[in-house]
Amino acid sequence: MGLQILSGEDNEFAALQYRKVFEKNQHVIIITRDGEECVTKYKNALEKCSAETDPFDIVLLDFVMPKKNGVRVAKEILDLRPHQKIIFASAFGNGVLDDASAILKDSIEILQKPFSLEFLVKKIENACTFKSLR
Amino acid sequence: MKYQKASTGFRIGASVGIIILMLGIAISLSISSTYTISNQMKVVTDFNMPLEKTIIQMNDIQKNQENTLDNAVKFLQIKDVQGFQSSKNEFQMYNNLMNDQIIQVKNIVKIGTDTLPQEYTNPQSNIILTRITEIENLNIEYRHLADNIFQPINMEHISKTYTLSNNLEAKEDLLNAKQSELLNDIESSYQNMDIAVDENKQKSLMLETIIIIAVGIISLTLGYFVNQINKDLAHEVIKKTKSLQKANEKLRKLNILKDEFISEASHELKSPLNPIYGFVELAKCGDMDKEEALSGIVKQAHQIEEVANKMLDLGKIDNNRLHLSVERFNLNSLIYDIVKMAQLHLNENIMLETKLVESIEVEADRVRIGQVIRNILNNAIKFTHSGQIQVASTLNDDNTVEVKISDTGLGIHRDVLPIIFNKFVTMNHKRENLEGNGLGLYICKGIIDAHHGKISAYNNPSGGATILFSIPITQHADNKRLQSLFN
Repeated sequence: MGLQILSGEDNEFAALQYRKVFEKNQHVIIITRDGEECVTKYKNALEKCSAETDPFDIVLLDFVMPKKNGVRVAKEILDLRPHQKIIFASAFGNGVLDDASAILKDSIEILQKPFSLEFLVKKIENACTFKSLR
Repeated sequence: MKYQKASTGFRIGASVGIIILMLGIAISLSISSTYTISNQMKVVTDFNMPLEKTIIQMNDIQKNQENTLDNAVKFLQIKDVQGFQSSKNEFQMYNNLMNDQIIQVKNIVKIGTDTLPQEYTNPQSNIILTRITEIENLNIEYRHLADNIFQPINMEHISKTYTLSNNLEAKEDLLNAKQSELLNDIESSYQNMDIAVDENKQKSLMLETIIIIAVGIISLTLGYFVNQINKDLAHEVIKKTKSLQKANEKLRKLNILKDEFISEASHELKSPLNPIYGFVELAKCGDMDKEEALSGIVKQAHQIEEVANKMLDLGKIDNNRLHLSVERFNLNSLIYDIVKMAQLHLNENIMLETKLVESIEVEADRVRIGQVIRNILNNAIKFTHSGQIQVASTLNDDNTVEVKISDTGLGIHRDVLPIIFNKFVTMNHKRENLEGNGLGLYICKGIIDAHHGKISAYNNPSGGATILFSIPITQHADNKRLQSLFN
């Protein structure tokens, strides 16, 4: 069964590509265009799932987004579900990402742009496999 | 500043120089007066000592002459011709010696008069000269009287000897008295000279004291001024240090902003690369149509170009190298095109309208003015989730045209408003909606400044913000003439 993925990505082309590549790999992806929409979609999904499970296998967030930035979205999601797996995709350099990872939990992974779509899919699939093994 | 430094340096240098000069003068005067007084004392001593010695010798010669005459009278009375002759020769010898002594005394007095200052010699030297002349005359008279004794021996002569001897004794007493007087005069002269030297010493001492006191007062005054200068300098140093600290702090903040800007710029340039790689990957796999992929790549490339252009504009504005390609165009047409384009992608909750005056022909850089309008309009759209945005143009009396873009959005944060046209101000601002590279409005201001125009921003009383700019309708000096041509 495919993975349930929530993506916060304001670049319409990147969002389109995520949709194409994840759907090709039998995964379900919900695309949101800003931070507020992303949190809303997460909360909506949360209402529909049980207390033990996370509403999404992976939340894929851009670092810079309108209305709410990626770090703020991640914090709000982690407040709701502390074990939710989150992956950041960002074009910022190491310095900024290190600062961000310092204020977020260790379970959060950061992917530095640019990366290939194939790499992204594998990364997310591996992360979910590792999570399920734990 | 350089002048101030030179002035302070000059003031300190001059103060130290004056103190050294005054001390030098005091020391020189002291040495000079000590030398003069020592010299005068030496001259006085050199004058009086030989004079006194010579007078004493004259006195001795006088005594010897008297003895010789006494002996001659005795030899005459016992008719000892040989003894008488011997006494005569001896008297003659003493006579010559006496003359020599008188000449010597005169010479000494003359040298003294020539060498010593007047206050030492007058009237003493004149008195001494008078006395010596009197002694000389008395000596001549005495010699004449003595010559009468030293006549060839005969009875008449012998009989007169007694009278002659009495006359000679009287002359001798007179000579002795004169010589004593002369000695007293010399003694008195010596004392007078001593008193004069003492007076000179006192004068010199007084002068030195006055100079030293003057130097002391001047030194204290200059010391006070140097102290004041030091205080000024210390104050200046503190002021400069504070100014440097402020500048340093400003530079530190700018450096942080620069680092953040580089990070932001790198992000802006790298962000479109990911979709480009994605398009290539999808097209290669056949998951996307090649035309669609290429179209996406071109759009992302344009985005990169836009970011790069902003960087270039920033460099040009910072270095005053923003060149305008001035042309004559219809400003309202430009505004209309931009608004029409913006309306295509506009949120349905936003109403974008224009309020333009009839026809405004301006002479400006069409591309750059379009860039400014687009930037302000995009900001208005970004910060207005729902509501109204209006773009208005007005022709002012001062031959300028004004473009005003108002919205009913979030408005401008009060911390940001006063410095909104500064570089990096809105970059990573706390308000998430203000995120951006903080360059857009800075570049707008640079472009409007290059057109000799004005740009400003304010929050509307009823909500939202307004950004307006005005530019001359022509970049030529003779605006009115051109305006008449347009009309």
